[in-house]
Amino acid sequence: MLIAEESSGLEDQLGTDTVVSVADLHKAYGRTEAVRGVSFEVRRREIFGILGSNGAGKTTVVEILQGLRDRTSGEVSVLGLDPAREKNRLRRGIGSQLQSSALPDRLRVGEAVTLFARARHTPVDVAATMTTWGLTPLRDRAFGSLSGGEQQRLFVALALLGDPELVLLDELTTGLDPSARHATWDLLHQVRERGTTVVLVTHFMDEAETLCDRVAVMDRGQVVACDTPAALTAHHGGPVTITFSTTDGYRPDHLLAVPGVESATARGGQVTVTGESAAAVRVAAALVERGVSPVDYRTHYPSLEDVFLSMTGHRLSEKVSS
Amino acid sequence: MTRYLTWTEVKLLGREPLVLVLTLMFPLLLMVMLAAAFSKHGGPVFANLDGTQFYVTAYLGASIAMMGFMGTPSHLAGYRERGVLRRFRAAAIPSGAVVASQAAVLALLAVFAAAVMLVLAYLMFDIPAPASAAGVVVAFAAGILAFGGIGTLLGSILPGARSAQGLGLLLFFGTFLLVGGGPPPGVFPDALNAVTSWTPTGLLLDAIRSPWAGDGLHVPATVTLLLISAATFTLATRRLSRN
Repeated sequence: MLIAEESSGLEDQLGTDTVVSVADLHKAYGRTEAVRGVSFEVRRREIFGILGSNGAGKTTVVEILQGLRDRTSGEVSVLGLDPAREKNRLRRGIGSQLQSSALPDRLRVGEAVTLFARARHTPVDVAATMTTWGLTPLRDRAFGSLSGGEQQRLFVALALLGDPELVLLDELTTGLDPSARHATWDLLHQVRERGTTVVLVTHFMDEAETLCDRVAVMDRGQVVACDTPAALTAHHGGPVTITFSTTDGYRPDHLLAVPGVESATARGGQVTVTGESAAAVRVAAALVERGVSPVDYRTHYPSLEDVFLSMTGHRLSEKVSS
Repeated sequence: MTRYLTWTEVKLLGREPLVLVLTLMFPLLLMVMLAAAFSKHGGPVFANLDGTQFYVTAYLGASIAMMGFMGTPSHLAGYRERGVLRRFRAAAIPSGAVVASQAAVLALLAVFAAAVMLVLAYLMFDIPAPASAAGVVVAFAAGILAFGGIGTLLGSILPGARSAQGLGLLLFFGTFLLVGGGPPPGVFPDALNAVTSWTPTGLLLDAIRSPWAGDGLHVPATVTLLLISAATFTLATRRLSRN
């Protein structure tokens, strides 16, 4: 119930404008099918995540979206254009950060911004861009001398030159240390505030969960689920788990009468209760009523990692060949 | 776009002075050695030039051929290998601008190398001016265009900098040493010369030497160089814009 309300509320907020639509997309490399019948839509102003392990076909999909690869079959529309036919027009309208791409090592940050600004059709205020993304102090630094986080900051700035309607970000935080990752997430929040639609490819569950409005979970070239992170975890993540410890021979049988509770077991003073997510607060209330107040009451909500495991049978960190 | 990209490439080149010096040093040193060693030779075997002029004209072409067979392809293939070209393509930087900027850098280096060589040749060997300076300039320009196209085409096809360097060495020495960079072609069998004179390097040296020696513009060689240029530039631009 709660989830349904959340979804429709989000829809109102986002509007129903479709920026990207993909229907029954296939891509084969020789005999290997990297993408097998993928369909999804990205709505205006949302951060849309494509989550999957390495080799799931995520990068192939975003490369097809920007005309860097040709599809084998299926329908693709990006900003109303067909990426296979209107490559250059499309690329000027979108911003892109590619996985495993680089700039010449000796190219300086200021030169890179100026060079990429010139490829845009709209005039770009280079100095303002440098200030916005905190690149001004790095202006004269060579690309090759930047840290991973600084390089990603430059790539985000380059992707957003000329305020594109849509940006495609592929594995934005791979290879970054935790503090640089969090700094990059902050950048992405800034991007969203500008009203830009974002397609974010990632194999980090926490990144998808924290940043994305909706997530398409990809496995072996297919989308196995597509919804808000909350709806995905509610529908596919399994039950919420509550644990606490007690003494004095407490038995949790009375908790089975609490609505939404599926199981309640005690083992060696450690009680484990499972049930639907709304049950957690009712269990707490029932314990207080009984005069039981454990100091270590913990609730474990399912994560996207659990969703991924339950839908694909393997963990996100495992590389899977399609 | 092309102008800014060219300017950027020139600046990048300027930041690697050692590469620049080493690229220019090799033809310069060989030219001085060979021109000095064969200064008393000449005649039909040396294409009707004296030994000094024979090697000076050969090495004027060498810097163009070296850049076209080795410098430009390995630079561009290195860009492909590291994902720079994909980055450019995704940002809608036109492939024509990439090709033109690479060719412009080649032209700049070739002109610079030729100027240094001519000054050095004049100071050390007191060589006479070419019979037709304008003809030599036309041949030199046709050579730059042809090897600019060859360099960008090779760079657009080859997977990485190392393979480009390997193939470049083979192409450069495989042709240059047979058309006058080493022994004069007159000492080789006619059948071999008939083949090697139609290689891009052979065409280039013939095109430069003919006006230099007073035989006028070598029309077949110069026109063929221009045809090579048109074909290779077209193919390179198409290849770089494709997925």
